[in-house]
Amino acid sequence: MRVNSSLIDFNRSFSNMPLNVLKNDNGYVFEFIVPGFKQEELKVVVEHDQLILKAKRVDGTDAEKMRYSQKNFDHSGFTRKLKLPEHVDVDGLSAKLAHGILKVDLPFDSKKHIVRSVSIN
Amino acid sequence: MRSLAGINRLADSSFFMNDLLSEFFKEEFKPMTKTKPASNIYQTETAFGIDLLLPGYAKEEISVDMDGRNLVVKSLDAENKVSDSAEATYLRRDFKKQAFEMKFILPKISDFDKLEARFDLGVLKISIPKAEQALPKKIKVEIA
Repeated sequence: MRVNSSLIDFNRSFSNMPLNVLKNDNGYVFEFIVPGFKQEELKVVVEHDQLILKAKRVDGTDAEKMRYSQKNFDHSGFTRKLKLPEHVDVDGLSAKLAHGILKVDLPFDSKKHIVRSVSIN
Repeated sequence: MRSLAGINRLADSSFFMNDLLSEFFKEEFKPMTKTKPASNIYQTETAFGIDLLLPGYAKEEISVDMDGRNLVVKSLDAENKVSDSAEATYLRRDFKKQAFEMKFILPKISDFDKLEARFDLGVLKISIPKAEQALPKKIKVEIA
């Protein structure tokens, strides 16, 4: 279900990490699945009209000798790029990590995002 | 469990049709199967390991039980807690917190008493040391 075409991830091939996008009264909320990553291993950057999430594992515990009989995920790192929706306040961007989910709040730009109700006669 | 309750109520014929229908629809809209989280299974020289990805879960919402060689990891009363921010409008929804259950049969050579589980950053790590007799033995041979 992708309603807003500007939210389509044009760089999906970079990673198969699932993504949720919500819209509420204040703006958009992006939810990234980042299990196993610590706060300092994640970076959220805005570049032009792109929101970029970079995840890179710092510690080397995976370097330990492990013989996998089943490997369904790998979290050494990934980069995820998304096109930012219009009328958002990039300066108001904030991110929070909890239980392996990174929530990025992107508020509307109140000057440009105008909600008006029209009376019907 | 639900179907058993349904059978009990069949005895009360006045509710027969109503209940049968409501049971049917209730089942219809429930997910039929529990999901299985992504897992890595591996071994090192001294231990077996299972990593499960459980983003969104808290430690208190997961149970790890061992019955003989069977290890069961599942979500606790997830049905009530699944409704996270249900009122928000999703423009895109790739994931959702769902009830899960996973069973593993541990290798015979495990040291079951020393099984350990740790949950951190949305990843459940279970480690089962190998029994002593299974560890590689290193014998130094003297050369005469």
